[in-house]
Amino acid sequence: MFRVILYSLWKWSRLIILLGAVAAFVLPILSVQGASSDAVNPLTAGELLRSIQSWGVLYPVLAAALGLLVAIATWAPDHRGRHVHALSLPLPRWRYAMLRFGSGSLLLTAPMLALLLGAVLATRLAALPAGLQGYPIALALRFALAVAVAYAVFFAVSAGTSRTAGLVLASIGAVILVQVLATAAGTDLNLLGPLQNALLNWPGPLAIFTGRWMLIDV
Amino acid sequence: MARAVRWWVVTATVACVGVAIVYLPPRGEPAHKSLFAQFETPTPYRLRVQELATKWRAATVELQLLAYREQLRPELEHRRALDIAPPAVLFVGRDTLSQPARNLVAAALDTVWTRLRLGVTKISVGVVIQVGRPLVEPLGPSGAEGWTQTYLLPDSTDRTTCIALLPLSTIWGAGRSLVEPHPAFNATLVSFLQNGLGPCAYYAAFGAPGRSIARWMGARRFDLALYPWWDRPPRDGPFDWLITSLDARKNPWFWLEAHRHPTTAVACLGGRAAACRSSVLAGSEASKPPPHIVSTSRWWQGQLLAGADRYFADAVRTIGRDRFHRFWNSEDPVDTALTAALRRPIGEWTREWQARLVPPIRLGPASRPSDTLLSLMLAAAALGFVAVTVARREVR
Amino acid sequence: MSRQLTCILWIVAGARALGAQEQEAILRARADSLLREWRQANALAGLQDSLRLAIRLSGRDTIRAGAVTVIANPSPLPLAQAAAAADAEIERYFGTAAHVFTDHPLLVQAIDPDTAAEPPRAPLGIQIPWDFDVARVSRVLLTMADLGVADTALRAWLGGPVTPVLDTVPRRERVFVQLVTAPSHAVRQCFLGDLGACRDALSLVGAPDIVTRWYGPAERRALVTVDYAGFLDRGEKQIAFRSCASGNDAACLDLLNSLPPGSLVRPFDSDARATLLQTAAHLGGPATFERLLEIQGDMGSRLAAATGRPIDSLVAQWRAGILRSRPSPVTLPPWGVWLGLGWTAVFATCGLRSSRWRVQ
Repeated sequence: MFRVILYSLWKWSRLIILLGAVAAFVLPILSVQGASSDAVNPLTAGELLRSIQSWGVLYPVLAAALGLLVAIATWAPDHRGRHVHALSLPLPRWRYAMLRFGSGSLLLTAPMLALLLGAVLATRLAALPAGLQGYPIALALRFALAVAVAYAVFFAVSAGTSRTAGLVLASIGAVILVQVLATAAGTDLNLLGPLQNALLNWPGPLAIFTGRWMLIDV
Repeated sequence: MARAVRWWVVTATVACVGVAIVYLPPRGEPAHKSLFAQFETPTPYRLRVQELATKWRAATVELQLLAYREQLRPELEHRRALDIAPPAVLFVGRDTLSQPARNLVAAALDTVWTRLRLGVTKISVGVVIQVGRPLVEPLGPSGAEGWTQTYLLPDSTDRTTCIALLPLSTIWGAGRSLVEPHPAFNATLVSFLQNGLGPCAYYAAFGAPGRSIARWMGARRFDLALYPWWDRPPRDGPFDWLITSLDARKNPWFWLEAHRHPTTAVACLGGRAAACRSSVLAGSEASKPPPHIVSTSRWWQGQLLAGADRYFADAVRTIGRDRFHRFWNSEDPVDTALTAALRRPIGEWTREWQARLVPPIRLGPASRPSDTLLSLMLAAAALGFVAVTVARREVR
Repeated sequence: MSRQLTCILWIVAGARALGAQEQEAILRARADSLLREWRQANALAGLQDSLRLAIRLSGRDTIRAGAVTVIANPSPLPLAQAAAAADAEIERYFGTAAHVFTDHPLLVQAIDPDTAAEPPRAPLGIQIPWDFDVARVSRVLLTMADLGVADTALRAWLGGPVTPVLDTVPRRERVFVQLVTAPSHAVRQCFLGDLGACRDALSLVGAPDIVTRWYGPAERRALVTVDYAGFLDRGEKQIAFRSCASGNDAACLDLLNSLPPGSLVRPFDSDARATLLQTAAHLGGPATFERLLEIQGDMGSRLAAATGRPIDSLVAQWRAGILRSRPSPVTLPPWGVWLGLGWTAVFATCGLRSSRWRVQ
């Protein structure tokens, strides 16, 4: 059963996995382009770190994008077929959902491994200034965790009904609308800032996406 | 099925190998070019001119300080003879201060001297307040250089006098209050004078340093002994913004400030004891005789240790004046003397000192264990939600 | 014994003094020698810099159009036509004073508009992409034609470069809005017709009590407690700050007078003064700026002498011109209603085409 579910998900999401894996491999390599011993104007340690940090913004973006797209690909066929095929299968619904989740997680290991490979190659072949070192494994682990969390969250959202999705979107929209009206009315009400801090900064549940994603650091 | 998957794997592999061949090892122009690459580099002739100007300014400042020392000599000898503790003050410069303002400066200096618990000292200190804009040089304006504090340390021609030259503007800062019709005692003036004493306060309190300590300090331009703040609690000082800017809780862009320091200083901020030790002991192998002129020009750029200006002051407060005095006068190698004074490995003590000043920064991409745990809990909650609700789905 | 000791001490002190004097003499000689060497090296370095600049300029095109000289690297940029257009505008605006620009060539670095192309190393002059048309290049050249190079006092009064006024109508409309809304007692009085207040607001006279002439008590309090709070609400000024915030106008005045010279915001911005210059040039004829450059003193008397008429007359003409430039209120264009209805129809059609409305 798992192989069948895995193969069907592979067919729906192979382009996403391919592009995601290539992007994950390429990102660390592009970020170390300044660390060259042959460059006309080699970057100083501080400049290299700033460059690495700028590129580092793309890791959580890629992780979130992969999680979102694979989660959508996981459930989209079921939504289109109104879950008839899924409901007719002779296994408990929760088990079916877990098999779906497992197959998506397995496919997502490809970009994770691609990032690990790219990070190891980049740090081994780059000429690092004295005092700096590479963190390929730590970066790959954090990326893997971010992909897993993004996939789990979007998996839950995609698994819901249209009404659920509508409720979620309506809630977000309501918060934004209240903020816009409050700002236009000249009040000091600030909803988005504290919400952002609560979610994205420590100790928020999404804090893993923020912070410094440094392939090379002191 | 396997053949279909194989083609996709081959395609991905070919793409990755192509990228690796093109971009590895990194070569050619870096992607992030330095802004300064767009500016023309000065010619060797222009660099020589700048070098000569720096040497001329250094010689002129030394002449000025020697002249001030001679001017202050009678007053300093008079104070020594009568056991008068506070430093002598000399006012120079193109602007003048009223007599009440001068009296205020003397009173503030007396307050500082008492605060630092300095009585009559073996090495006398003379403070020269240069009021107003720096004099125009034949070399043209020296920019910020004209406003830096400079010190003439005791040397072979006079081992008992330390001179501190403090430029004072009457438009901003402490000097602004002195040109008001009724100048009043204020904390800004006291801080200005206390900071201005600089290395001279250490000489006055603890005497001349041992040879190895003096060479070490000279190589580092006395960055560890810049401000005599041993009377005030940690994290209190006029340059607190420098420390606050390194605090990730108060400044989300702290890493911009952190990466202006050398890598060993950043590693020390990250809590690595070996790097802290390297940062502190940098320059300890110096064999050149120490300079007798010290300038505080742009001391905050390229600090070998973040917050170095208060390192010795905090050491005095923590280990006590006696132990610090023994260290200061020690003829042992620097690391031996400092370890003996701290009674702990230098790296360990410095790491803890740094952590008290600024919360350690996280180095590398690894997430906090708490972040990891919270994220895993979120993922588990999401999956649990799906498992519970998916059973309720119906076909209508 | 004590006599011997005293003798030894005197000898040591004497030796030290001699040593100090010798050290001073050596240092003085060194400083003088360094200064001589610096002067020679500086002259040589200046020559080297000039040679380097000349070499860099030698490969460049020099385009002359009247008073305007442009030096640029070879490129498709239409500099000849743009320089001619700019020269016409410069001579129209600055009149006979345009000759100042013959000694100040405009350096232009034409660059490839392709963002993937390498930017030039150490560019010389203002960078202009070579896909700019004549009008845009001409506009850039006009912004570089700063008469303030010959009169820094004029530039300081204006608060920016002294260049020809472009976009006259929008600029005058902005000045009208300032005249009506600026939080300044002098500007309000100027709007109501007090020419003396206009002179004060336009900084045409230097007066010791200019702060009280510019701003009333409530405005002074607002400046201290809002605009300059970050600078004034600390240190020894805090007590005076709080006193001002609770209504003590004398404290507010002291605080504003304690600001560094030139840092207090002026009631009018540079647009107003630029339009005044434009009015003066219009009234005084082509030689206005030339006369202005020759005369010294405060700006009011300089402008009066340059235009050949009393300053109040000039200010009155300027004020009348600004009042005539009232901006038109926002109106709906005639086609706006039809556009709105059209988009409504488009979205309604899309909505009605949804499968939700179809009976299966």
